[in-house]
Amino acid sequence: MEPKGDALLRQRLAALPLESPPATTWSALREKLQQQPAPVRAAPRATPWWLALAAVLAAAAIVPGLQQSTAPGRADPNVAAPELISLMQRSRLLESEIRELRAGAPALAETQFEWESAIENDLALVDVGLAARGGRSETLWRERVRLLEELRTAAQMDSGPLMLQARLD
Amino acid sequence: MSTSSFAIDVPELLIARLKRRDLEAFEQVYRLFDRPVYTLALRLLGNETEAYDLLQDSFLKVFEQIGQYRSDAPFWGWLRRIVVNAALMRLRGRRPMDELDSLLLDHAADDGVDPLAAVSAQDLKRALGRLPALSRAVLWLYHVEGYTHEEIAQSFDRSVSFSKSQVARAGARLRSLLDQEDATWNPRAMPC
Repeated sequence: MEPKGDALLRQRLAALPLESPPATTWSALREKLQQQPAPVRAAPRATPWWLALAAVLAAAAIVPGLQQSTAPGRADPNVAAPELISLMQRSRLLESEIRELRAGAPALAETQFEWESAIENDLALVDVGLAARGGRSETLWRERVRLLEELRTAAQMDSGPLMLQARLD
Repeated sequence: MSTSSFAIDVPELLIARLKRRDLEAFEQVYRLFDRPVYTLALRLLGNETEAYDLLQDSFLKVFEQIGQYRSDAPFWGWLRRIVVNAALMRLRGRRPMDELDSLLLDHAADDGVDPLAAVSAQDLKRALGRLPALSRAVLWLYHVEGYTHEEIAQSFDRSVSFSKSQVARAGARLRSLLDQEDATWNPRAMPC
């Protein structure tokens, strides 16, 4: 058992207020971050976030359907339509292909990075929309697949400048 | 038991954006952790300029190494490890580790009253600042960050008994300093 004096010491030290760094720290840090050299692709993740999200959304689409009773004669809105399931599977397959392509070519040029980042930002927006709709928007899943196909093309080709310009246009 | 101010959960989506080097996401993470990181740096190094440098270095390292972070452990633990390691590197460069062992062991006057019981936060911070840096670091990591003696021994490349001894000595030294503060600074201790 901990001595009484230790408990008091811990309590007093932990109760000391947090210290604040100078207010200008973030702007100085941001400047340094922007001067960082061209990035190197991260090692492939064991569980990419969008894959995890897709799994969660798929579960969210199915589990409530098992838990809730459905009025006779009405289609259960919680059960995913075959088209939706097909888009989710396609999405997962593309993610796997992109991971493999990236594992084979970890370094990337700055423009290539910008191109891929632009696509990934769009993907993040789509995922936010999907999360808000409980993962059941076919339109958004279709857009997600389209973006992943674009990302796969980006990972396959060293055509960053042209494609990035096309994307910006 | 940890009383660490680092224990803040970061949403997976925010981590994912960090991994894409999204500066806005990075700023959000910075705003979550700037005070815990700065406070830990200040407690370990005892110097505002060095704590400021360490804060910047730590976040730059996060930016560079975020691809290596695995989400099977909390982000805050990973970040705290970066800060502690960087602080210990600085401390190692500052003075020989052996100096810790030469600390004089002061005992607080044993009048039955623990000086910690009534001390103000300001006096406690001042006394903490007067401890030798490595001694203060061991004390803080053990009592506030919840490190075990084994983890401290590993971080300092020393034995477990070194950690136990330093925690006890630093605690005693801190109380002794508080007693001195009380006699020196506390106006209530002055004759009317």
